[in-house]
Amino acid sequence: MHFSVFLSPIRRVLPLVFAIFAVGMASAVATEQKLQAKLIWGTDKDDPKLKQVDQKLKKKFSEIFKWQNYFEVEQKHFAVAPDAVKKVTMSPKCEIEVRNEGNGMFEVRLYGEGKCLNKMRQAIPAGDFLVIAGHDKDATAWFVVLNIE
Amino acid sequence: MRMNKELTLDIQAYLDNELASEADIKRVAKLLAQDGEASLLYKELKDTREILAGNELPAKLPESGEFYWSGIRRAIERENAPRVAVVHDTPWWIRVLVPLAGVACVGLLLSGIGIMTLGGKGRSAYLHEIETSIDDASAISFHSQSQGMTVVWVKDYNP
Repeated sequence: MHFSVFLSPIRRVLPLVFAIFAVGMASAVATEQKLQAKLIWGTDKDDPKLKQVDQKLKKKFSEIFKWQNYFEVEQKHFAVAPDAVKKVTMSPKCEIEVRNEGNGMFEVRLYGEGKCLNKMRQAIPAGDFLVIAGHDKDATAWFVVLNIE
Repeated sequence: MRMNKELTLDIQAYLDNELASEADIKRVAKLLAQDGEASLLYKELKDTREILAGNELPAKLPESGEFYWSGIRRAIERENAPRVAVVHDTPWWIRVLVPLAGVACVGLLLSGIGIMTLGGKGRSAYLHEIETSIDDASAISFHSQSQGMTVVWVKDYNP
């Protein structure tokens, strides 16, 4: 079998492959990143009036943290374009500011009453979670959970 | 008589019974009877022919004559046969799929490199950067590989 047998189809397919590759690269570069942020309260007490987090997240939290219940206080969906910054209010006293650095890297700032308390740079792969947390009164805890949608 | 080329050829022809006319045969026979040099040449030629006829090895063909010549005929026929364009017996879908498979392999290779690179970034990113702005506060962080979760625990802050 002569090698030219393979060359002819390659010549026909290559432009299509390059076009798909170029479109894919362009879309990957230009697409904004959709994120989800949740403010969660962890406690050993039960409160039927509050909304429990979904079972998947509760299972993950139960593997790591000590509390019995995790209630969803706030949930926000937002998108951040590459090199753009988005500020999201999670509670009257709590805000987060997210900068999309590209390639799955994010800079997240935690604001308390307008004051920047923490700044972190972190990769958030799809399916992973970035959790910013701290103690609350009466041996409870608060969690801001950030993940890619 | 002095021997020349013409006479030599006549003697050879006489020996081989190839002289065309009766007159030539009588002429050469008379010459051989009268001329010693011509007679000597005739004798040498006759001896030579007898030696060769009795001792020359017959040329043997490696195969039968019929087969030998049929082989030559086939070779000539092949040489003279018109050139036929090469027709590929490979199905068209194989000719398309083979290069596509090659492209797919390259894509997989690039994807693998990308995954490894991103994995490297991910692993290194778990050693993330944290800055705290609270004077008397601090933060600790840890990563749970099994839960896919990076936790930054901030002390002394209540949202």
